[in-house]
Amino acid sequence: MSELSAELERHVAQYGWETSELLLAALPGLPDPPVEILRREDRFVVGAPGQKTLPLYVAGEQLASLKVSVACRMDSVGRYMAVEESAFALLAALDRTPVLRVHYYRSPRGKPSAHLHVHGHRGALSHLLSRAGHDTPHDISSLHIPVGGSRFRPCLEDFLQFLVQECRFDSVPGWQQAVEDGRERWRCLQVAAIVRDVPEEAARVLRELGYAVEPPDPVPAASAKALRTW
Amino acid sequence: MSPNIQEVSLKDLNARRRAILARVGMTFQDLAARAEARSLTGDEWAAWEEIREIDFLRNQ
Repeated sequence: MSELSAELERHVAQYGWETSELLLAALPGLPDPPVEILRREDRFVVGAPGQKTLPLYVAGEQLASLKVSVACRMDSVGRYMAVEESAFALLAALDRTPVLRVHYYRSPRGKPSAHLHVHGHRGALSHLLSRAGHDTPHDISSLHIPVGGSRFRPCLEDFLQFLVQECRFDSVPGWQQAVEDGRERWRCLQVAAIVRDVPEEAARVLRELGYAVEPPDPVPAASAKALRTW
Repeated sequence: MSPNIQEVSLKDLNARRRAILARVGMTFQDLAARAEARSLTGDEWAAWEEIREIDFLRNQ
């Protein structure tokens, strides 16, 4: 195994462990560990054991399930673990189909890179989509509702808090601490990525705060992709 | 318990992919068409998600 490959495996193992600890600290009745990592060469998928879903309970009765899937590999500069695709989905136990899905694609091909699908019905929305010439006006889930792009997209912690606080699924006592700790880790990683995207803007703000920041030569350019892609 | 890293070969993935398609009794093209039309049943949705993960690992 090359040094880079070993480094990537270490990052993915750490990510898998953090995800596992987060899920166990938030949701009751999960298998332990609640995630497994599949690997082929430099590609990894982190998800529930056996590529399945995780149970969600209300008053001890399983009413739904949670799909968590994160596909990752080394980034283009060979330095960091890059998430290529991720999916967090809430599925009803009734028919085992999705109710809500949050997806992220690093290469989204026309769709918003981070988006929400709502599997529901709303006559007024279908009517206006139909009038606007939408291909599938009856199917609200065909809409890719943008949720912040690559850097500002919701994390798993946000989805878990939504499940517990908004949907009222059973939770483990103390879940909020684990969710907030994980969200803090996620946002620190995203802040670091944003600084790499727009170093001059980051330096300007740091100077405003009183830091002494000297630019390297040459000054790195801002990432148009990060700033402009939806 | 820490999650295991399970190494999978291309041969394993191809076999797993065939088994998933057999489970839902469809070709990949049929399943993809139903996904595109957003008319997957619960079992088909699970199969489609599993195949997408497998195809990411297969790099296809």
